[in-house]
Amino acid sequence: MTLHDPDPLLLAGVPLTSRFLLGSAGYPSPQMLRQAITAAGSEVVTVALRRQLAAAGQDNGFIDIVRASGVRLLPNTAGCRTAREAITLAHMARELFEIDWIKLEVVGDEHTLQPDMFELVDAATQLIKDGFEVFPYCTDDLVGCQRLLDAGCRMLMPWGAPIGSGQGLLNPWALRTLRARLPEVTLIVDAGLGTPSHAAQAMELGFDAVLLNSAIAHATDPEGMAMAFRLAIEGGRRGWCAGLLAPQAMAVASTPISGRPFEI
Amino acid sequence: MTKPLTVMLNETPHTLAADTTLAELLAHAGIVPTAVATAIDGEFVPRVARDKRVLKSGEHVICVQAIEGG
Repeated sequence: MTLHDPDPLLLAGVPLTSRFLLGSAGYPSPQMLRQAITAAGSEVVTVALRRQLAAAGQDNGFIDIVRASGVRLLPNTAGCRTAREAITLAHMARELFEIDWIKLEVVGDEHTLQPDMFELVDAATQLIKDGFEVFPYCTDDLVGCQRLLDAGCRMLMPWGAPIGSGQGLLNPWALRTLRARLPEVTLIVDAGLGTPSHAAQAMELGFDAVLLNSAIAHATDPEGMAMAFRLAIEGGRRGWCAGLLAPQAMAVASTPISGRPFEI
Repeated sequence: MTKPLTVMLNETPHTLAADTTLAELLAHAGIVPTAVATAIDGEFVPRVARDKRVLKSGEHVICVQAIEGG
């Protein structure tokens, strides 16, 4: 059952009932990917491009499953290290997938796969001129994020932790700062989440959505994990909307103080 | 007789007749043209432009297809 969200996500002008964007990589089988997409309730699924390997250049089984699921595709530029590479790959993705949405990835460090904010800004500037809707996979650096917005991005996708690491939100302060300083911007935590509680935490920080892949694809039961994340995301969102209790340094009695039985 | 040309297709060398187009290279390699996107020396070449894009010796052609991704 999906909880009714009184404020559905508007992503690049497209209304979505799900706040769970799903990656399609690394599943044991196309069938498990299909089950995970259904269990997650995702309406947006990421895809990628790689050098053509099959002699005939035909789609593989995973892509067939994603296309058949009826979800909106979000191609990425994974593997790019410069703005120029990412711009070229984005144009190739637009032609193949027939969509102008692009998850812009430009990696600046091979060990952490940390996004290169400088190259991202350059690439985003050009791609937006070229008519793309740019979803930048970025760090949680506030000023860098502001530059991406200045370039014309309508949403930001800061990392929670390095891709595939499963470490959760390594810097909640930075993410909370982004939410506070950019209240009108669509913010999506992308990468590094390992458990459903990480996703709930992101939503409780006021983020608009979550994008994840490895934690589901590499689970023993991807379908079950997709459902677990879905419930966590919905719970976290509902909690944020309902108004979370602000932490206090000391105890605050919940039972009324006046009229205590043994008070003298 | 015009000298044949050699291009790299996804880092594999292909020797072709002079004035071969990108579209002809894909056909030569047995690639379904609608299943891939192409670039030459890092510049995107749209599908509609492939049959007019004559290859030059030493060029690097990149040909990509859709896959699953995160």
